[in-house]
Amino acid sequence: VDFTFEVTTLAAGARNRNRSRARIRVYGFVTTSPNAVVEPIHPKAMPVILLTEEEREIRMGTFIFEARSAEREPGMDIDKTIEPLLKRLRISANLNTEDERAIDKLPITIKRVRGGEPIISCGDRPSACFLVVEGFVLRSKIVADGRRQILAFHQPGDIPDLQGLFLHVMDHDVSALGDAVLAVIPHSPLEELIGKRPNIAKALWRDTLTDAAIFREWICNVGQRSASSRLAHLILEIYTRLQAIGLTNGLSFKFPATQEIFAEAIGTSSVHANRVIQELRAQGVLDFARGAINILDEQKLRTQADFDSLYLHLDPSL
Amino acid sequence: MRFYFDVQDDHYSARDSEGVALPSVQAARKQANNIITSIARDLFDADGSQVAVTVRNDEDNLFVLTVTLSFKEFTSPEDTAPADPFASGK
Repeated sequence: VDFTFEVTTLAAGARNRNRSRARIRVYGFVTTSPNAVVEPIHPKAMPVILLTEEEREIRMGTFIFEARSAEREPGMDIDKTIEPLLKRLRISANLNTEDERAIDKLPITIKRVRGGEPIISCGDRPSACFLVVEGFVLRSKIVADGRRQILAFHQPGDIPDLQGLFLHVMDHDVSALGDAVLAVIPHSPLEELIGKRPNIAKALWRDTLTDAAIFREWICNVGQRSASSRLAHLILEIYTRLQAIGLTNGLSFKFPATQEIFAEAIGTSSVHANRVIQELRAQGVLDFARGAINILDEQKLRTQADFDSLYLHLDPSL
Repeated sequence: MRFYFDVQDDHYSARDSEGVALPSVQAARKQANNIITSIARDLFDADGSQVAVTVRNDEDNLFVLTVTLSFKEFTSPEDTAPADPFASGK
């Protein structure tokens, strides 16, 4: 049965800033829309009783809320969860220690999503942003005849729906590409932080401007380049952004996209994307295997891609 | 219904082993149009001149769609453009 539900955490003070390694228990329960019996008494929701182990796994296993302080290692100043974001902001903006500390203090909850699962949809009014901690997410839009255009891929450290802070209704969809871990940050403390710390406001502004620069590059890609250049360009973009935060292994990196996903990102049919992939393979430029991409001939790939990393603005002096 | 799109052009030939689930032959026709025009765009830039997409279901070959780029240079003053460039053959 498909129903909407929420997990309510009952533990007070789960975000204990105290450095002790105390384990804090967090209890949760699942609610759903009320049935005819419950509705007259409680119109908003009723609890769900999970009878089997399998139901528990499905309903509780996909949405796990963790208290961050419980994960903290002694002597570790910056939380692992927020580390990719800081790494990224450090590369492209100037933050001081106090700024970093203030970001680390943001109240967050961890959410795990499965591959393909929607995160926010067009028309939603989100009250929180999310930071990608592990895995990848994608932004997309569906056109009238049902075809989907992928607009952007996001990696650990990105906040794909930062725009929701100011643009209150979502104008596109965000979903997970492969299983992912997200950190949910409510809008109000983030707004407060921006008001108090101009460096952070600037860094996030720069971040959304860079986002726009990436969209401009994607317009050039989809509008003017050949399909093989588009794919080569996309691969180099992902590689360059992952490398900047240390998530590549030599010329290899994890990226669990299927042929269909690549097709939707470069604006071709899946059959055409397959033709391009086979060509790049045959030329010894790239190899795709089980959710990982291996660049075999970087020079050839760059030539093919017409790639200049300037638009990624990975250096604060540029 | 599952449809398979085999591509053949000047540089490349591939049999579709995965296929796509589509509601009708008409939808498959539309899909084949998309495939062939996007491949043709790249191929003609790379000096190719012909693409064919053969569409099958699990039992039979259904239809073949082809796109050919033809080129004719005017070499002498007597060469003129035909009144109707799309008129077939003779």
